[in-house]
Amino acid sequence: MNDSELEALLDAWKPPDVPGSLSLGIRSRLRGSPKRTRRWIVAIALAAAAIGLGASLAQDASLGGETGAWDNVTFVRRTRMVHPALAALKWIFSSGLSTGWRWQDGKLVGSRYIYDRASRAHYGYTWSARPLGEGRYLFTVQPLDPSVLKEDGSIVPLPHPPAATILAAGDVFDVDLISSKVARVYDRFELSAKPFRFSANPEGNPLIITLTHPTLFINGEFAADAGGVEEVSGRSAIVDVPGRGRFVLTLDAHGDPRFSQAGSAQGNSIEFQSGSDRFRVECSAPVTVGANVPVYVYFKPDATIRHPRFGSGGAPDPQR
Amino acid sequence: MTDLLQVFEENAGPLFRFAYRLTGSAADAEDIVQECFLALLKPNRSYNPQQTPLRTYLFGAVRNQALKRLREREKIGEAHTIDGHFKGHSPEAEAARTELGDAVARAVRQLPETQRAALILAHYEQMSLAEIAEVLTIEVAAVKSRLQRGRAALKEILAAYAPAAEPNDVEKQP
Repeated sequence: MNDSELEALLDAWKPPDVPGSLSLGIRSRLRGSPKRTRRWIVAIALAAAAIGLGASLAQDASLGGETGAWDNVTFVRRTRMVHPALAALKWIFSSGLSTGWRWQDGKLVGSRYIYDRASRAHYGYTWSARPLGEGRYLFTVQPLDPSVLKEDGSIVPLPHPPAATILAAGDVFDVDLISSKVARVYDRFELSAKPFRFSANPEGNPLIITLTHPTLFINGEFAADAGGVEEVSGRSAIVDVPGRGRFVLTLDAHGDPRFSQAGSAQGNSIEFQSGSDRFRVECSAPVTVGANVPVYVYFKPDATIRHPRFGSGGAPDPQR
Repeated sequence: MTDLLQVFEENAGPLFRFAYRLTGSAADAEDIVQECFLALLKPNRSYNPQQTPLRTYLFGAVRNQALKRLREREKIGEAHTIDGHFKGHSPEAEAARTELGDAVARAVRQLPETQRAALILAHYEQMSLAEIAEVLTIEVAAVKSRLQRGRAALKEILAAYAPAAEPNDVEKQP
């Protein structure tokens, strides 16, 4: 083989495209369209602003969250925060999971975590809120339920497990997932007597799925509603269906071989096919900023699902 | 900020490809490119524009980060995987992921890291010997040597894929 033949052979190795999450933000920024600003740009802007103002140690950044109601007069917003804002860059593209919440044994129960691919570690917890009457709840944080994990890896104990506490409208409560000398990642629970305004995906990220007041139909028949969760938003959406399994939906499979294209998102609904069944998730607001966007589905028939549930998760894992 | 964005646009693609070819992981490559740009924002950054062109610095930083991740993988015994099909798994995407491309990827990754980085920069990023020497912080003569050894090794590993190998063999049959 001569040098030219080797050169020709080497050209057969094509790298993947640059991920949209890395490049879209730059292009949109150069176009000067504020609505198209991506998280990457926001993160750099946050970091630069923090450095420029000398305030990087005083600011926090948000990684998203969810809103909903625990009852008719108790509304909840949970926001994942990172301190300082600069540290958000490490976590902004991490995967993770929020199951929302559901009633179980007389209390609301939910799980959430963030996943560090490098160390294969899950940082999270399972919480419960038991109603005490008059809009008060006994809020308890427990070790993360391993049955909700999407990835292999360890569960890291919470750095400061909070004691059970009574919460009501007007209260704010933080749960630390990570606490080190350089960064703190925490969930902030805010309770209010009035509904929170939806704020999912304010940057118009085309890779984000948002399910607002979702209702699931299977082959045209009503199958489940969202319970108390009003909105979930993330790089993936999770639909748990008892007797069938877990469906993880995403708009960019990111090379994760577990996902296959199975439907599309259009307007306020997502439709996808699984086997001979047609699934439709109807929402009260647009699911994505795009039109007729392909939806990729990872179906886990072996997941143990006891209750119908909608949740959100992080980006698929190209390593799989 | 505008300057940084321009630098990012001009270099993100080549840096991502370089990181991917070193690590074999699109996710790692994405993280690495982010981290390298983030490093530019730090007040105590190591980059000195008086000493090094920014492009050279960024390629060097990507290489260092990639090496760090590869070492971490080895520590935890992670299988070295290649996720070459990044944009979904449609039949078209699968078809595009050719056997030859995979064979070349495996062959390049069999090279010692020092040869691998030099070869990727020379062949895929079309860098001059002088620029590769700056990125790898070695002499030009050492770059030449590494490229020579790397190419020789690849010819051996990929001999079965030589363009004319099969027809010639057939013709030699009695």
